[in-house]
Amino acid sequence: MKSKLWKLLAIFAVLGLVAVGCGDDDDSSSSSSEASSSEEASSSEAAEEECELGRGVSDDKILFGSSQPMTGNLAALGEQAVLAMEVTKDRINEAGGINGRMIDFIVQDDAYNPEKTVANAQYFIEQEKVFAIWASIGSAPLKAALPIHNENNTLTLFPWAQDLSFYDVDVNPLFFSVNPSAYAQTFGFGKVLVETYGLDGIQVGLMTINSVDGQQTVDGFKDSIGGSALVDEQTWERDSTTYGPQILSFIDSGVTDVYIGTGDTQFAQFLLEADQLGLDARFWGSTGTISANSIELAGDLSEGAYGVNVISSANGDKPGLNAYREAMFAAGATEAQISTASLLAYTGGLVLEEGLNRAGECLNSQTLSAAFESITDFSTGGIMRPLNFSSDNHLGNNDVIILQVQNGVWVEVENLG
Amino acid sequence: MMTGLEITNLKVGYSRNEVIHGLDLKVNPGEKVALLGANGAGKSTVLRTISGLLTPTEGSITFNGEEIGGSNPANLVEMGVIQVPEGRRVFPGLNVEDNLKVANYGKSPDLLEEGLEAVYKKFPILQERRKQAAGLLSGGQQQMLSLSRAIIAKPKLLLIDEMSLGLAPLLVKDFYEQLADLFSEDVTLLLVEQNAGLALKYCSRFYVLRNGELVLESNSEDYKDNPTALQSAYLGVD
Amino acid sequence: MVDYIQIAWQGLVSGFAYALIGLALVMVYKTARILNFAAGTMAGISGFLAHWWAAENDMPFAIAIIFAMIMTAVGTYVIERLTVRPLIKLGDFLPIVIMTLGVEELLANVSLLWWGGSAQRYRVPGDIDRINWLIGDFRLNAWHVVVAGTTFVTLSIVGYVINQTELGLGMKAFAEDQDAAKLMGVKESTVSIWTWVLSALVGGVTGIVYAPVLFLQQDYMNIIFIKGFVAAILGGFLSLSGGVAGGLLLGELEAFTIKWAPREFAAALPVVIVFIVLLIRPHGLFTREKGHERV
Repeated sequence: MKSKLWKLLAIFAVLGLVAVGCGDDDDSSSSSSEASSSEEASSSEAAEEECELGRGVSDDKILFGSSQPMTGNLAALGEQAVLAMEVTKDRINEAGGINGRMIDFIVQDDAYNPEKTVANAQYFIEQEKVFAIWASIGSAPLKAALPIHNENNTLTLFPWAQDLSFYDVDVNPLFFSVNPSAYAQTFGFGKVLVETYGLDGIQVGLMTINSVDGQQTVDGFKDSIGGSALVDEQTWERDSTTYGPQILSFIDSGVTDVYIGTGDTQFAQFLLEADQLGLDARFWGSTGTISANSIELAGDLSEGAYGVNVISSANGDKPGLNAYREAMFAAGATEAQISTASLLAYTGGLVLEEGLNRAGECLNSQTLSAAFESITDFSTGGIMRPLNFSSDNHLGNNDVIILQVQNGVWVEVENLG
Repeated sequence: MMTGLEITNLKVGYSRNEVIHGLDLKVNPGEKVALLGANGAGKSTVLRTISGLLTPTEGSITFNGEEIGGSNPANLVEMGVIQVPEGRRVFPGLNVEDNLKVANYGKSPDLLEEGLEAVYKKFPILQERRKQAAGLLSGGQQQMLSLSRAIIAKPKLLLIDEMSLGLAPLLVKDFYEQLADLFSEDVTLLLVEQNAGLALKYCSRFYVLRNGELVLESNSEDYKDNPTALQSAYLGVD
Repeated sequence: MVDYIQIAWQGLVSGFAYALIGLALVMVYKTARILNFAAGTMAGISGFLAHWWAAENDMPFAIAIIFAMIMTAVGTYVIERLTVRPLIKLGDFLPIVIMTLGVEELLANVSLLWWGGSAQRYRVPGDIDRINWLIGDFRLNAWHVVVAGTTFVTLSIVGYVINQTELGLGMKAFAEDQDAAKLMGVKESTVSIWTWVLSALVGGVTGIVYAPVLFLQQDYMNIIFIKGFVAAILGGFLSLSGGVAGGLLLGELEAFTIKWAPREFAAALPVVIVFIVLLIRPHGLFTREKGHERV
């Protein structure tokens, strides 16, 4: 707790100093946190008078850059994200822009190649002088480009990327996201389990891929509910042909709940083999297991199985989702483009709009960053759970959505237990 | 038309390496002829080419008037061109009887019965060991098996490659003495041998090959008592 | 205690697949000295074909399988004639292996275009793949019984062909000594083509019986192929029964190591064990060092 408080103070201190301007480094290094926070009040007044607009921000325009896979086998995802960005841009601009500024963006293809993403980042910042990088796709590409964004005081906003290191505010103070890491997903899942069944009522088995991602999944769960309820950890590999031995181990451990971090085909096979071997437990599939195909493959065996998701189904019936689909179709989207990729980009657009409104006239990386951090309990109309940002949490989406297979379809469950 | 084996201007090699540089050789029907030469002279290459394992780059091979150069080995076997390969080449993992069965491949099982009977009469030890893996037989027994396969295959043109290789001299002598008994008189024979003394006793005529070229062709009679002259032909020393 | 029996049975159910694919690989390698990298994809296509005839052309289950097997045989015949045969004459090992990789790539794309990339369920009559029996504490899946039975019958048929027919004799002779076999009148092209067809049929049967277990997916037999490959290595790659035994052993290793090995290590352990085996016995567990393999 203590270290978090310190972080908080430190961030305030940095923010305050930046707002004042970067001229007096000598003083700032020695100033205590108390001093700097008292300074903050006066500095924000000062900022109103002598505001320095961010790079890429003019009186009538805000320019963003976005690195996307527009060619190669992930090109469809890039197209979907860009369409959702267009939808966001039109919505904002048709309402008169934000503080009289229209928003615009440039897309550069990186074909999911980190080297190209790095080149794109340099191009955006040096040539096009964009304000921020928005809605890029891919963990590996972003991981390569993020240091360049940071060095150039450039915000990285709402990408579809989820490496655990991204969310460290000390390393990446200008990174904001609504897409949780594998760690955050099981962290949220652990909370739901305990809230619903109580810590004493559960014995959990985890089934994760034998990789760094899998380890993060396990860590998130452990950090959420502690080790006592976690009774069995099993792994699978890409070349696994059966999950029978793992299932037998779960039976042996007497698990009440199994979290299955796999794809949809593996999930169906797991349910099949669990039935064969008589594993009697609640099954919780990770985001990757939630598809119509997992139900098709597992048939009746999928009935009642749960899915742990961070975002609602793109085809669900929620005000936010209905608005999303309406806007997407109006912009010429096909059925296939109603997808997680476009929904994520769209949702990020909602938060971006809110942040820009909150940041006010004086728009730069620091004011927008502070504006995002002030967003709490932000409703996306049911697309995600209410979003909460703070100075030490730049991942707004910290709660999972639970789905369940009911009568052969995935349905969002409001109240478990 | 029975003209036996006739080889004219045969050139053959492995990849781009020519080994035989224009060989002319003739074996009349029923004649027993030896092809002599030092190690590496190209004798086995000639036999492998006649058997269809190698394809001539030039020249012709005819058997009883039919061109056989470059034919499929299986078709040649059907015509009665049978080789007893160098080093015996029994199938070590197969038992004795299966080895013999392979020699009857693609032919009627009745013929096999007949053949087995004949072979076992000549080499009773093979019958005794018919269920044993051929790889476990002694060298001499393997040579028996190798010859027996040829007997079952009913050769018209028999090619025997280096029977003496790796066998005790006494044993080799034995096999040569039995040859006449094992195969009928009208079988045309081309024998490859390093050991000239043995071959000349059995064959009426011989050729000497050196570095892929013919250096001597003669009746056996003329050299029977003059092994030194042969020696120099082998090695090219005068 | 029953737990151990259950684990052993699960190991066998996977092991049967590895054994059959291992056998299919060894068969071609032993006779023709060719590593068929397309074996897994070919087996998968057999599974897709059986599914396609039954589900999309309303053909009875058994007839659909027979049709799929016929198509597998004919397809393999064509593949052997068009791709392998022209290269055999050159006598080099590598071009043929690369050719099989090319065939694999081609077939994988054909499969993707024809049936799409997402997994499909292969329906069996009465959905017996979803029926489980409880015998004491032992749980037995009805389809697994079919898998075991099919494996047994397939191995018996292969055993019969190899040991009791002239074709089998030719294959064995060819495997022992190609030149000597040719000199005995064993036709290379005949042996080669029937070896390929027999191998593809064994693979096809495997692809079909494991379709309900793994679901039909573009590459669903490729993992089995890799395991079959390991099985073949374990068996020495020159012994048919060694390949089968290697497959069963690998299945058991996987089943038992996952339970007792540490988390990070479990999935890799079978491969590590194979590695150690090869260090100690480079010629595999089930073949003797070959003295007169090649003269």
